[in-house]
Amino acid sequence: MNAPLLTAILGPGGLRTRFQPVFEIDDRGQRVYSLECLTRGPEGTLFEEADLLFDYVRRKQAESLVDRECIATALRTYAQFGINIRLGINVHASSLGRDADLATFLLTAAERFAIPATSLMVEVVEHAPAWNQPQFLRNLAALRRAGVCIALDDVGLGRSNYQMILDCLPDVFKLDAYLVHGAHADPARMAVVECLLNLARRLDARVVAEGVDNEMDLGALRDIGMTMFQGNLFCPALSFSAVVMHLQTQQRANLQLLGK
Amino acid sequence: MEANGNLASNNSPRILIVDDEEAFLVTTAEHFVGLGYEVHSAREREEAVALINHFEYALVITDLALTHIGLAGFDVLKEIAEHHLRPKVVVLTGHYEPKVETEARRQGVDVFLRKPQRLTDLASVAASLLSCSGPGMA
Repeated sequence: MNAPLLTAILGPGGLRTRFQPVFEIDDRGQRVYSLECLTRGPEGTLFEEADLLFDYVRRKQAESLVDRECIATALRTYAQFGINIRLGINVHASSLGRDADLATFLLTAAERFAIPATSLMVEVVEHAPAWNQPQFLRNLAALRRAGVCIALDDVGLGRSNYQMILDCLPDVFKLDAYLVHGAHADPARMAVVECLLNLARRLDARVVAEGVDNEMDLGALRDIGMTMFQGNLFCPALSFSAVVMHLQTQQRANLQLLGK
Repeated sequence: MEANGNLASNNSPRILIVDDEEAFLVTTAEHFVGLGYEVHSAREREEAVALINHFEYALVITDLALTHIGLAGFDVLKEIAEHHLRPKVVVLTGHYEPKVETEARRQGVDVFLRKPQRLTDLASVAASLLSCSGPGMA
């Protein structure tokens, strides 16, 4: 098949990973809970932007190929720094449904880079309407057996719906930014968020609010009992070294505030 | 997401050129950039459809034969037809049959041209189409 763009995406340097931390905030302070890997396409092209990149990839039905490349790229980058923070890796549900060996691929790659499976969180994303559910569940079970944490990404939007919640029974709900943006001034949004928070508690899962970009939304979400947040208010998506530097700077600032 | 609307930030009309012939694509894109358009290009159906879903275009110029087999350009036309803000569409193809032209026109193509065309002629067609589609057009 003549697919020069897909060839470029899968070629050397075609995919780049950016990392964005998820923070846990409670009375004891603020800690990094995980780092989500966010993939960017070929630099300098329109497909550098993730939405456009993965729209194309899904239309080519190349999710599995590209997910494998994203996993390898993310693990390779992460391993270079030797830092023990849980790593969130996005994987399409359709890839887990179509690619019988995807869990094995991920676990083998992690082992090769000496990354414990318990340091990994697979963030299931989905946009396609149909996938092989038994195969999907087998891959999820294999990941869970190895100690990988399972998150459902973009909850509340598209295919990250109640059906997917029941199929995945995720350890972590990641609420889509659509629910979070402007929540402080929107009782309807807050009602949906609170409903999902209660559902997650019933299912013994934790909840992350994605796209937290201002103090007002953060305050409103904390008021209803949320403790885990991701967004530009805390740290934008950066290269791994830049994220590490950002976190170290933040840690020093926090220590200075505490007078240490 | 890039700027909304079918105009680039500098108010140039944004156009999409779809063709699997690299040389044609590059030459045509350069010609239209030189005329002040913002030009995106796509070499295959999936690339074109993804772009159409993410950007608004004032004009799409597309071939119909985007692969060695079949007329994948019709899938591009179908995608365009489903958009609320439908761009003007020029089909420029070497694959000519009366029934193909009839079907393309049925799917809302504004101008159907056979390859080869001079770039100056193609630019005139584009300017003419865009001059009657709203403010800020060429």
